[in-house]
Amino acid sequence: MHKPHSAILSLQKLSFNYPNGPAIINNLDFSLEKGDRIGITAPNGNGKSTLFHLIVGLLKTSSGRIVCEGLEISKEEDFRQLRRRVGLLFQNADDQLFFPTVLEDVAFGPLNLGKSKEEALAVSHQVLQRLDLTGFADRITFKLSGGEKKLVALATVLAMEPDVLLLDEPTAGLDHNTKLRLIELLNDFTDLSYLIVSHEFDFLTATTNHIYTLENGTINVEEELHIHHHEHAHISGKQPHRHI
Amino acid sequence: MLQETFISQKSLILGLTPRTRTLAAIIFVSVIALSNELPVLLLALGAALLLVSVAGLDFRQVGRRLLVLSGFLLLIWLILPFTYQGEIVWRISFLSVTQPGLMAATRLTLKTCSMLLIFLTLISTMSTADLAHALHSLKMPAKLVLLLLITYRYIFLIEEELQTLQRAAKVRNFKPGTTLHCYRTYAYLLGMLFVRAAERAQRVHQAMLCRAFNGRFHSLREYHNRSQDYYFLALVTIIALMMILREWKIITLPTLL
Repeated sequence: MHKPHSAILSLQKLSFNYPNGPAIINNLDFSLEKGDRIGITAPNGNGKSTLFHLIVGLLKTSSGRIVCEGLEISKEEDFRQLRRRVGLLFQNADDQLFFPTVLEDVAFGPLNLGKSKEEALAVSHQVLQRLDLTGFADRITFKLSGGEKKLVALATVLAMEPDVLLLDEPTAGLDHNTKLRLIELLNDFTDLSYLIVSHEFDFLTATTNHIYTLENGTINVEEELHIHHHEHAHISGKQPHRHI
Repeated sequence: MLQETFISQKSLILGLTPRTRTLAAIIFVSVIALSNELPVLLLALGAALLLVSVAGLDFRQVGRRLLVLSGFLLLIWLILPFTYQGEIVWRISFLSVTQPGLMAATRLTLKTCSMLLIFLTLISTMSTADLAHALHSLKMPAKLVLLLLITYRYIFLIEEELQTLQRAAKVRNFKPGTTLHCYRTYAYLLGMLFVRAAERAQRVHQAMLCRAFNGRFHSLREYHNRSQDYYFLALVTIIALMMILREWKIITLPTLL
């Protein structure tokens, strides 16, 4: 169903376990093609974050291959190249923002990529504008609210100009309005492919085209989850309510 | 909460760039630290007091900081005058106050007070981030600057973690006291804080790797000297030179000193 060579990112028979521990990722096959917007859902502690950390090389796979556009990624240097193209948004924005001011933080990535100060500033301002954060450039990062931190963290990732985004529980701790804003933003990123791990179905249906589950260390592509709507009747059905 | 008290205060000193202020503080403090002549130290204190009054800092806040220092100075005054050998000025039963002991205590007092005042006016009126960038522009090694910046960024989070832990203890009716249970609780609390800090450090490092961090530090800030920066640095240099020349007994200062 997926042709291995057209994929931006393809994971082949990926496995990972901590020394003397059970397999957290087990023979996982998956590929992401250009324009794919995929959601992954799984119970807590099922290796979702581990999977992302494996992809960008923060953890070393026990076995299996990671292939980016036909090239196998194995050495640290390969992963360094890969991290330019695959941006990871951490679950906790506080881990990701390490400079006192927003602008410095956003410009950190581009400067590391060898851009000049002027280019880095231009990219940063552009990204902040795209996320509607123009007034935030000189704000102090640790004084931002949770939602603002998340958006700024997203800006720092986007400033690297990646092709693929990996979002790890992006809605954790966000209020309703920030969630809506994030949905709107993600739907605007037509030039990006992304993979979202979340256990919020509403959010995944609003932002992705396919939703899979990560179970027993592997992604089951055959068993895609579909959101569908029922009509049903019960007492007090007229009152606005939700079913979980 | 940790606070940077003096930053928000309006002050003439703010017209100078952080780099100028840092440089001036370094010059002053290194000359003072290495000087021993009383007139030189009096001149330093005079210059420091002049700086404080020109800067227009809140005197009560400055006084509070000096008060913290006074405990340390008191200790010196309790020990030094009695422990030096030399000409005896005053004898209280078996204790004797000596001339060199008194001089040493006076010198230390003058030195610490003037250095503290200079740091208060020149350094604590800027944010730690400004200080880091100023040091970077003064060619401080990038690793140290980065360390300072990241410490500044995360110290607040660590403080927050500590408060969270303390709150968790408080809601379960924990009262500080001098019992073994209390000490054990504090030990666990501190241990937990270290574990959390270490874990966060690891995650932050991962986040830095994801953004292509390779150990280099790039500063976005540039400092452009204006005329007042040059005037101020010239004044500082002249005073420092006077201090050095008097220290080496090449010149004598006016009889007032």
